[in-house]
Amino acid sequence: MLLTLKNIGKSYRSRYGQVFRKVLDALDLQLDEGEKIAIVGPSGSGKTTLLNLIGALDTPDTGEIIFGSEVISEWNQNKLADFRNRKIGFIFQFHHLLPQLTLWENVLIPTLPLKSDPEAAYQRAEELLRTTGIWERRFQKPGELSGGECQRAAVVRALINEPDLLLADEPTGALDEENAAGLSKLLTDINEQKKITLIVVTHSMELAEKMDKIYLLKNGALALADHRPASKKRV
Amino acid sequence: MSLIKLVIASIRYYFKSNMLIALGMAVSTAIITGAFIVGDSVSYSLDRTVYYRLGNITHSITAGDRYFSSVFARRMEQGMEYMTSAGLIAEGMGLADGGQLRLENLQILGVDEKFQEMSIAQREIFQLQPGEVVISENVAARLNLDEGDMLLLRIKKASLIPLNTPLVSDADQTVARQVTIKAIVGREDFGRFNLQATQTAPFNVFIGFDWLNDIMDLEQKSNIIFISTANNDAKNEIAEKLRRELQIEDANLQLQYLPEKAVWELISERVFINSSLSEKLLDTLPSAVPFLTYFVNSMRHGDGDTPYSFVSSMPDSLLSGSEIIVNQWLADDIQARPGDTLSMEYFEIGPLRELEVCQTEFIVKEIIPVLGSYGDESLVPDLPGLSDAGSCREWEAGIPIELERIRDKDEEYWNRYRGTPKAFISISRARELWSNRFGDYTAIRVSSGAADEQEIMNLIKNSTDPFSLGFRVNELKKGGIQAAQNGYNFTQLFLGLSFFILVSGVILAALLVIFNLEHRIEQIGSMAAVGFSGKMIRKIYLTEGMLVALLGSLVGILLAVLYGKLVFIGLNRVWQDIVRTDLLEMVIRPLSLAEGFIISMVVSWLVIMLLLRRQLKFSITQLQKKTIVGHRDWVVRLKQGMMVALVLVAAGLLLWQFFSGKELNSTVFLGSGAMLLIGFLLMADLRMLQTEEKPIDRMNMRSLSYKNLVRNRTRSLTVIILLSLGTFTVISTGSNRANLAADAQVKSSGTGGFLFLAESTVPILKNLNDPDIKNEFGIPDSLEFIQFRTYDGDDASCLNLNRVTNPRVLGVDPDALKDRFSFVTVTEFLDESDPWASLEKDLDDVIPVVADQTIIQWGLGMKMGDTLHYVSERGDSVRLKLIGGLANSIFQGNVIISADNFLQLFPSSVGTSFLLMDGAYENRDQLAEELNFAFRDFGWDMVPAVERLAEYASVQNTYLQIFLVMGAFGLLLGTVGLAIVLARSIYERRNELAVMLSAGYRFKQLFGIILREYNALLLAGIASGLLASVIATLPAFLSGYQNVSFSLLTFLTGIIILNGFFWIMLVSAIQLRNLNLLDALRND
Repeated sequence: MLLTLKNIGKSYRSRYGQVFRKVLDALDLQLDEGEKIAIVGPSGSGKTTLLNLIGALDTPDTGEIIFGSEVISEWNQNKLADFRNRKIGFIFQFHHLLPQLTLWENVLIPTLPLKSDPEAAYQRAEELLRTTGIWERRFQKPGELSGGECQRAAVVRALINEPDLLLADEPTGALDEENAAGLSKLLTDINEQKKITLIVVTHSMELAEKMDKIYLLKNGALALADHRPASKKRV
Repeated sequence: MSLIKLVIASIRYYFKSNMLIALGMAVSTAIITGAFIVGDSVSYSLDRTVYYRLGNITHSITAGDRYFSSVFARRMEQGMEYMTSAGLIAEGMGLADGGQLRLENLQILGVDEKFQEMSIAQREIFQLQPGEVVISENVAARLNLDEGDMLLLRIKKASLIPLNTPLVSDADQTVARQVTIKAIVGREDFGRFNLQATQTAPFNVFIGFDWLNDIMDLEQKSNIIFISTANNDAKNEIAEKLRRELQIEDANLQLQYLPEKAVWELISERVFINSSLSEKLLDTLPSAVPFLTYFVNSMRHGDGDTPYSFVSSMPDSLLSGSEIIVNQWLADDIQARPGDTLSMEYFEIGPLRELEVCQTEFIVKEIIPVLGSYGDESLVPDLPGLSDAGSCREWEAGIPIELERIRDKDEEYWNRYRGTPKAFISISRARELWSNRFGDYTAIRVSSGAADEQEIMNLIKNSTDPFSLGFRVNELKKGGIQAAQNGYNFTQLFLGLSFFILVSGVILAALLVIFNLEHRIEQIGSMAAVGFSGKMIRKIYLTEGMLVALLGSLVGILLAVLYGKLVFIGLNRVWQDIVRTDLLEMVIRPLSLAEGFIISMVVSWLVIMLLLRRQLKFSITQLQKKTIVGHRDWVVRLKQGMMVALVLVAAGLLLWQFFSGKELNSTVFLGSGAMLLIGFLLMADLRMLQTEEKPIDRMNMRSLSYKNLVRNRTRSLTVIILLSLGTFTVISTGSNRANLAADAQVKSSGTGGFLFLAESTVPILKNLNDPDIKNEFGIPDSLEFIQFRTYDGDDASCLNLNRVTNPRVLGVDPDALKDRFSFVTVTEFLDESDPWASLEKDLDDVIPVVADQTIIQWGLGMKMGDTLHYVSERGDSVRLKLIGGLANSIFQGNVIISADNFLQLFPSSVGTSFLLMDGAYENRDQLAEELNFAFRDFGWDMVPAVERLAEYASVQNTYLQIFLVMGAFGLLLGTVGLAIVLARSIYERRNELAVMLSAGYRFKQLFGIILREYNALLLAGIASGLLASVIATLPAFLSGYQNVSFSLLTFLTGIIILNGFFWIMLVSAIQLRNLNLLDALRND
């Protein structure tokens, strides 16, 4: 088992510590290596919160997050940072590329804290940029590229350290149909070719349907959706 | 929705950023308006000083070293619309506490009851009884005196005869009296009375006019008439009255009838009759016969030797220049007969009583009876101590008398005939031998048959131009007001001193405006997209900006008042060295506030307009996509060209300075430093542009930091500019602080290598380098003296805030100063191999003069080659041409001419009262003790030369201190700029930083990246400022006169760097701590 979430609870609190919204409540999830799932749900249901907890960007109020055999929810910030760097790849709705850097420079950013062989990183970057079809654009800056190209660069950035788990938060949310379709394909291809576990949080059923499983997040808990409408349907 | 509503809504929405902009503008307004307030206040205070020092006195009449009848003052006011008061001013010194406390340079003021009316004194204090004095507060403070206490006053005694007049004794120059303090007076009671245009308070001792006359053995004599009139322009009227009212006794002349000779005889109380007067009189009355009587040491013939005799003159018609007529007594004494050769020996008396024994020979033409048509005692002038002595052994002449040479028969002659001349030579020969700067004749006689008394009186009066005798009408009030109004312009000074803060404030405000516009760039784009014209958008943002500027400027006016108050606290306390008065009062003139406000608003308008134009030139798409990048190639090429040109020109100038062999010119270095600074800033800009454009092949943390650094070049460059300006100011100021002690003994330094400088209240009449005189005073032979004659004027040094036109003139033998001091500016008239010798050059109608360059430029407001105008003792207008400027020296405040020229201008000048002394540095303490003891009765005010130089340097250092404070404040603004840019930058980059965190970066690593970025900016700013400032102040580093403290420099640089580091770390830590990762990722 790659990832296990046990009895996860998360609430948002006011400045004075009072709970004003319970987002996740006794949530459980288990995920195998190479699996790809989609998490859908209405706005404000806690999809991004759940993704942030899985990605070690946030910590749960209750419960445990176990990655492999280790309980990461008990780790300190430095260890979590290392964990994110080595094991997790993030893709956001907005690419958040650094405008002052070229694509090449942007995708290499996660390699810097690693202190590993840069040549290997450059090779991986080249391979990924070629795979994603933006190799020719590598010396251009985000301001000079389309949204789809930037998002593909964000995918390369997420994959550059060869993570075990790829987390995508509304990856197609800011893209047009064509670019969204392209990115969906890219993500599923990566999952299949590199056997990287993929969790996608999305409103797009088109993207969700490309996953092995679709979970519906409602009332703070995940429920496996038992049917997959073929049409594009917003949940 | 109207425009104004939109604008107000925007101001409210962007309240924080607008308030920051307003604050930046408030700082600039405060600096500009504050400078106006300081300037106004100093100017007002100097005007008030004129009131405190002169009261209702508007004019004065003085007559050089002459004393005239006090009745003259009363005659001067008869029939006129002004009031006069006769005064007697002397110098003195005070001793209290049994001699433990001593104060030189007292201004002893003999005043009468009318002085009270002219004063501003609130109390009736100037009606003084014998033995009573009123003293100013500063005297009381220095001598620790209270009302009713006793004070020993030693006063320089007035002498009707100039003290260096040949044959006049120099004994008893001072007189001492124990006095009681009747009152201690402050400024409200006229305690600051002063005739000199300066804001510093003199040490005043007021004393009853009659009693001061008694003390000095004078009879109703005065040397000044105070005049109070409602008309400040009454000078001509007073001068005319002076011409009409001057009587011969006021010119120290006496007309007496000698019945036995049936002649009218004109003599002078000053022994010698002023030559301009005698020339005019002899021209208008040809029958008048001049006489010149002198005291000779010896007359010899064969073995015969008659000591100490008076010899007089006869008209040229009676004997030739080589002939002498002797009386019977002398002929018998030395066995001389007509045709014999008579040898005469006499003293020729030099300017400092140097005695030169001169010898000359005559052929005896005739022998005449002791008493006869020419032989009479009345030909001998009234020489105190000589002509009035009871016997020969009681003589107290101004020359040494060998009493052993006096024989009984000489005593007998004296008893019988007194000083009756024993011989006569022709008047031409007599003039040739004995005429001097005080006059050509000792008497002029007119036969009673040629003119009656009234006719002669009229002739004398008509021949007597008071102004050629040294009388002057001084426009005290008018001159004082002019000096105050033209004094140091503190507005300019403080604008100059705070220039960098001003620039920093404007840059900071501009930076904040840019932030604001950048923040709203999409808004601008949207407005353009929905059809707002560029003009309309500009109008909206300009209105908003100007409303913010209005608020900032109004706050700035309030800050200006606070700033002014702080400056005045500084000037009255910490920085008192530059104002030397506690009289500074702050005034706030509405006009100045309005000026500051308007200037500030205009600057704001310009800044906002320029930035709007810059921002709005981009396309709508660019604005909406926030993709304003790039630059124009020609701009880059221009910047490259400018950078290369500036660096090359600066380097060329520096090389030229070093290899031309000329004096290092600080302006050239400052200019080179400024050019290099701009060059460095351009270099930084271009370097950032290069970094921005060049892709990184091999990524690492460092390259990532540098890429981030150029994310917004304008901001980064602004931070560098702010920091470099602040550093430049602080370091160049610190480097210029003069530390003079190390070079005090160097002859080319500002001390001239002299050990001591002294000023004496009682002039030194003798040549102190003469071994006999040294022996007389008990001073070591090893000491070398340079003695200066002085003609009083106003203090033109940097200690005086008033603009003076006639500084004190020093007269010196130029040879004595050879190879001393350094000249920084020269003219064609100055021989650079021996500059001092140029003071003796004959420049036709002008007299060469040198002065400190700083004083020429700032104190006098003149330049090299300009001329100063003085009136000579004879009333002639003379021009002194500035031929050389000295590096900062102990002569500050004075102008220097040659002693020969000095005596031509001011022939009655008495002795020397400004002295420089050179001796063994190791023995300086002992020498100081000996000198202070030797000249204790001369009002000897001696300081080590380096101390005097340091006193002047303290003014410069105080200005630099203010500059340093301002520079530090500017640096603070730079740091604030850095902090704002940093905080803003982290805020704007929060998504990027969050992504980096999500990609596994630790907070520590992000912190490191930010630190590296901003430390690079900090170091670039400081390094460019430091390097440029070091170049700009190279003369100070390289000169021998200013010992730059490298430890101070290192300390300042260290403080600047640490301060920057501290703020970068603090702001980064706070901003990163406040960075909410999840919010940042959620929020675009």
